[in-house]
Amino acid sequence: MGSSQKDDLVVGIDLGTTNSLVALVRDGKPVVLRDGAGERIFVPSIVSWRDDASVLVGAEARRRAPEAPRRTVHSIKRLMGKGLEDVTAEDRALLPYELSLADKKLVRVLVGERAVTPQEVSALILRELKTRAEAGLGREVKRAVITVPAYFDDAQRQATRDAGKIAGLDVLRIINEPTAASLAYGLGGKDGTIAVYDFGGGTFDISILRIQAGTFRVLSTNGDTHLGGDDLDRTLVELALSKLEEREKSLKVREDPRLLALLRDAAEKAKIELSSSERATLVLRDEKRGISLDLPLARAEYERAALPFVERSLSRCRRALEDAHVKVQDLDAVVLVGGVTRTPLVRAKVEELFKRKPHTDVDPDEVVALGAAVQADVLAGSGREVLLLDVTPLSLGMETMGGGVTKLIMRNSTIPTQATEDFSTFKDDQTLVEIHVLQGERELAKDCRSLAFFKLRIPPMPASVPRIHVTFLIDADGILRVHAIEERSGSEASIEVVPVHGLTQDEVDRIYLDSLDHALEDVKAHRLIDLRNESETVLRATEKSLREAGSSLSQDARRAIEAKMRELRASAATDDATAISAALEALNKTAEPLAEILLNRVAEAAVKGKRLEDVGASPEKTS
Amino acid sequence: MDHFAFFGLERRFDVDASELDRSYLELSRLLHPDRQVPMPGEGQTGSLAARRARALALSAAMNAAHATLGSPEKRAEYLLRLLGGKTADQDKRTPPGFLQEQLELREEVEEAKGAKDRPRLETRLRELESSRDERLERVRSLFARSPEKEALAELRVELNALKYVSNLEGEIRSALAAEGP
Repeated sequence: MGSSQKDDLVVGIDLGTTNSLVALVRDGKPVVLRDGAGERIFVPSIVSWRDDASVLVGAEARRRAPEAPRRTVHSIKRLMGKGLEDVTAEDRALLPYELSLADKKLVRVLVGERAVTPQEVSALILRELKTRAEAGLGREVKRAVITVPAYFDDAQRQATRDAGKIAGLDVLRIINEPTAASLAYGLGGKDGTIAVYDFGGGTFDISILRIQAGTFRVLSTNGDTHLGGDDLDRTLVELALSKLEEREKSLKVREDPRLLALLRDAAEKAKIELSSSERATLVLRDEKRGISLDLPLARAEYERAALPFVERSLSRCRRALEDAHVKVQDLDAVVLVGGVTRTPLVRAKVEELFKRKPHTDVDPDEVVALGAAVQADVLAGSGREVLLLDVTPLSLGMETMGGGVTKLIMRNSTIPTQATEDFSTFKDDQTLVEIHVLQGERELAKDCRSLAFFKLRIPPMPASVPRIHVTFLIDADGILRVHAIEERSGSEASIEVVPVHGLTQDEVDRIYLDSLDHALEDVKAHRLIDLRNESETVLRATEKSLREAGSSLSQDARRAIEAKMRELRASAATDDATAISAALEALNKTAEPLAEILLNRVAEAAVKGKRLEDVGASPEKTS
Repeated sequence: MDHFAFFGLERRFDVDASELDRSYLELSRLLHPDRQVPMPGEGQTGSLAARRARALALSAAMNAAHATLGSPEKRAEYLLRLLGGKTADQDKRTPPGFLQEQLELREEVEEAKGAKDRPRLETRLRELESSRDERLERVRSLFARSPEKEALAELRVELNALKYVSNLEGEIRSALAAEGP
């Protein structure tokens, strides 16, 4: 295991609203990674805090949700990069946990006494993926490509990158989910124009791309970061609730967080059943309280309730086609991404709009992670002839006098890109110029997303004399940097925009350090990796010694060593650090006679002036 | 080096779109930050980061240049500036009667949008498209006469009008796309 090889490992991560996955390219093909126990790493994006502040992530957290609904956080992606005023009533209805009202700029989730940022919650999910991937790979994972919805704004992208940093990952690239999906889809080498319809757990994206000799060029993208499978699930829960209230008036389900959580789970199962059959039965059971209810549901009822949400996605598709100057008949394929696209209603509506059967060969749950792994492979220097040319989903500009907006970069501009604008002061002796950076399509500043304010200090001059030159630069992650200079005086200010709704670099660093202090699991995982590496070294060295000096051992001693080697191999394949450690020790002890023989040879050789290599001793000793 | 030279094109209004695209993709493969990958044994080091930073600046400039040449309106603005013509801020004139016409048209479009009158919006869109094409044709012939001073002044007036026309056209398009058939 050379050090350069270790350095080159870059994984692809799909940090989803509902589930998160990690993938890697192996032998030229992207695969979803497995953990130490050989299980596919498919982590529900759920985090639960125990009363002692220890943390559960993934399936365990989901199992705990009914017992601890207020200490269990799901769908955190909906809150990434948001301020309190951005959290819609729809979001609130979906999220049963409490939000801290202390800081209007940055949403925090209240878990008991703690107020946790969405970045930290996401970091816990990323850390779980990282740890399990490391256990499976037997080596450290330091670098990653992480996907985000194409329609994520600057603040949401930065929040995702910060979550990666807090989890101890070097995020080499943030890429858009539909673009990643196109990469996994288009690897076969088919050229053409495709639409990627990505209905995720919490967000909807549509991208139109042109694939041409390994270049994946996004022509346009559109979406809705407040539209996802969560919304469809909620319609089903609402449907079940209204039926329940009619039938069981005594049950106050709405005021009962535990029953609500159980109902959500049951609705999820019923939804899956409704994808393949016309009717399903929602089974609500609470054994602790002797509740057992069967609710019949019909697909038609569900579809009636879900239709407005699907229509919303179609309107976004039409805009994307318009912006791309592509007609439906010019498309070569429509690719479906996200679990929601298994819903028959969604498939039928997509088919109706695009006038063709959508492509369903790729697993809609895995395709984004697989595509991220391909991009990770490219950035790691595999030499794969692939180039992604993505776009910025929303226009970027500055506030002008009177609350208007000057757009510097238009939506669907290929990134990286830059634009400049010159302006001046309107008052004499003005020494402070404030630049308000905005993102969005609306004409008035108040209707756009406020990304950042920043200030440029200049020497006093008469009005209109200063020449202020502002440059916007969007990097390949879709993240904005702004630079301003007053050309007569040379006063300069340059910032990587710290979003209004984000964390500063200092905050990210502090949280990262805090998380290191508290991350017991992380320490455990590292111990596991170290033990595995040590086992591998010891096994190799023992094998070598046996080849060189095994003949000098008794038959029994040799058999005993081989047995202990088998035991170590077996325990190194598990996640049980104690067992690995014990097996290591046992092998070292059993191999002592072998080490002794080798040592004697070394001593003899030293007397005779031979070199160590000649006697089969090597720097990798067994003890 | 101007944008035309950068993509290996002649400096003139008529641009071969497929030639521009071919050149753009070829250069993207060289200049995009993602194409700056570790050399054997280099790993994710400082020198790689420095190469990526340079590539970021270059490809940002290239993408902006490509967007300018790719759109006839932006290309015309850019070429006019290269030829020493005035900017829209310096000369805001429009053809006689144009603004009044636009005002009425805009009112009608707003009304049709409010009434969700799809056929009417589609008719207006087709009219605007053909008026845009006519203006672009005039722009083309004016550029053929440049660098005559009068041609540059007339170009400014045409481009100012063209901006109004494209804006309204864009608004109708997004209204139509939002509503669906």
